[in-house]
Amino acid sequence: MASAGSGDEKAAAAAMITLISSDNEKFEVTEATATLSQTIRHMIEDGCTDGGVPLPNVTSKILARVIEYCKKHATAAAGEEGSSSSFSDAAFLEVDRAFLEELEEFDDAFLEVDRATLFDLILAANYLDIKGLLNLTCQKVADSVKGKTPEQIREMYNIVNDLTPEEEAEIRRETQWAFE
Amino acid sequence: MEEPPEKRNTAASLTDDLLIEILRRLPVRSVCRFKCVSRSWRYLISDPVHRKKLPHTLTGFFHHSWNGERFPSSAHHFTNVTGKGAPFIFPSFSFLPVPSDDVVLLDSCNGLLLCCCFVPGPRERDGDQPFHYAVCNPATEKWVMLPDGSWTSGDAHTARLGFDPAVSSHFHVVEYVVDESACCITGVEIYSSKTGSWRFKENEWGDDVMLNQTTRSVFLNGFMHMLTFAEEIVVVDMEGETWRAIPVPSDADFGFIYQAQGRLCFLNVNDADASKLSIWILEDHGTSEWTLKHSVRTTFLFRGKNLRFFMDYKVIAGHPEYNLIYFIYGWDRTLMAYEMDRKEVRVIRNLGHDSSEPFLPYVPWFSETLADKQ
Repeated sequence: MASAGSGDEKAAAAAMITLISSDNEKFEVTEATATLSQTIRHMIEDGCTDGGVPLPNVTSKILARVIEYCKKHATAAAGEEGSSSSFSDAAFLEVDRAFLEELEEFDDAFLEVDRATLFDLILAANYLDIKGLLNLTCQKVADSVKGKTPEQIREMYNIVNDLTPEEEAEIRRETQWAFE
Repeated sequence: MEEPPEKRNTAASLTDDLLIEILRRLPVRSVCRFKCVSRSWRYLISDPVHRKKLPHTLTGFFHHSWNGERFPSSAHHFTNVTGKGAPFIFPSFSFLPVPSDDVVLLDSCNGLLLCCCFVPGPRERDGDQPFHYAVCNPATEKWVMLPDGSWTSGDAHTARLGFDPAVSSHFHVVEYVVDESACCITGVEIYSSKTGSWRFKENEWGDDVMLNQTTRSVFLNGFMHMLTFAEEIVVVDMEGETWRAIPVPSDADFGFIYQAQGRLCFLNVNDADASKLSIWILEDHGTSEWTLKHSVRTTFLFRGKNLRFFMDYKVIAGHPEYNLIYFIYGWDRTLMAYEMDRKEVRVIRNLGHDSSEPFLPYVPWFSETLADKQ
């Protein structure tokens, strides 16, 4: 096991955190990136990140994506805090808007994944407690099921209909307006 | 070993809380439909704890009664129309900082209520009692007392509430300001919970606009719609910047507006045929084009009796999702519903002869926050 911050790293290494996926892959990230996750933030505050943070619920494939999201959004957060003195307000607003647009484009592209990955991202965002990512991914799923019929939902998510025909008829009777 | 992604029941990998997190972002129509997906979805959506987080539809009506022969003589009521059990809202309004007797309900909009709270104590010399507006959420018992606007206290006002949680957690209160003769609109005073203040805007609808205050308003797409006596619907946005008047599709002294499935609906009984109730939908706000959606004979609604619209019976609401209207008629104030698609009339309950307007339709909204700057 590699101990945190091996010798050849720079001073910045003090603020680096190692995340370890369920399949034992290690990811080095800055503290600013890692702390977008409230779960990891609390671990850092409690001083239990030496030797890396094991994340047994997240595969390397998903963790890589989550880190990609956090890196982008951590820069965005940093951009909001630091800044301004060198810009006039108007110029700053201009930069701000351009940056927000870029961030939106990033989010849209980020969500271009298959259904299973999207659900894995929701689970990871929930486990790591990353509000922004959870909102983004849940909204994406909601948008994709809006207006769908129960049959289409079952097909999309491989759900077996275990309602009896009588039960189904009863639900339809109760909420008939929703089917029109 | 991991199953191939196309074979996984991916939804089953999510916890109930996460599924609710997704479902709460959907329109109420989708959520109701998804009860049919499977047993576990049905239980998930019907669970009372989860229900609170999910979108709702019309569940009942608030109304008021006064009867000198009982105590308390004045009372607020809530009548459930879902056909499922007791009202789950207890309309005592004891959470408000004034005695329930001094609370008058004025309007409801997507889960919030606009109330008039009279200041206890003797009336002013002109007989009017000073009051403050309050906006409250009866489901969470959160409330906010609004600051006073610039109007003179005690004048007769028409005030309406604008709130749409799907768009913003902030609400607006529109007060229509009238001239000295107390009939023509001179402007509107709009309270924004975002700024925590009122703003007056002068009337841009033209002269001689008289509101039909007895009917309900419609808050739709950020605009407040109100019926006038000149066969028009006057519309204003919450900035007081855009003013429009939409002509109604059919002439009559009395009409009623409501919103269903995100569209403005108008109903009336045309002067030319007093026994036919017609319901219209505004297809396009830009061109003010109405489509006749449905007509029904009054004799069909009242078992052969040809009752007079507005005089003998009053429409009090349209269902926001379903093709259904609610009306009140008779000495006992019988609450009835008419379902247009199935052409079915249903008696819900006698509300009692001492119950009085307004009958306010109520769609619960369970968010813990009530946005206000104060």
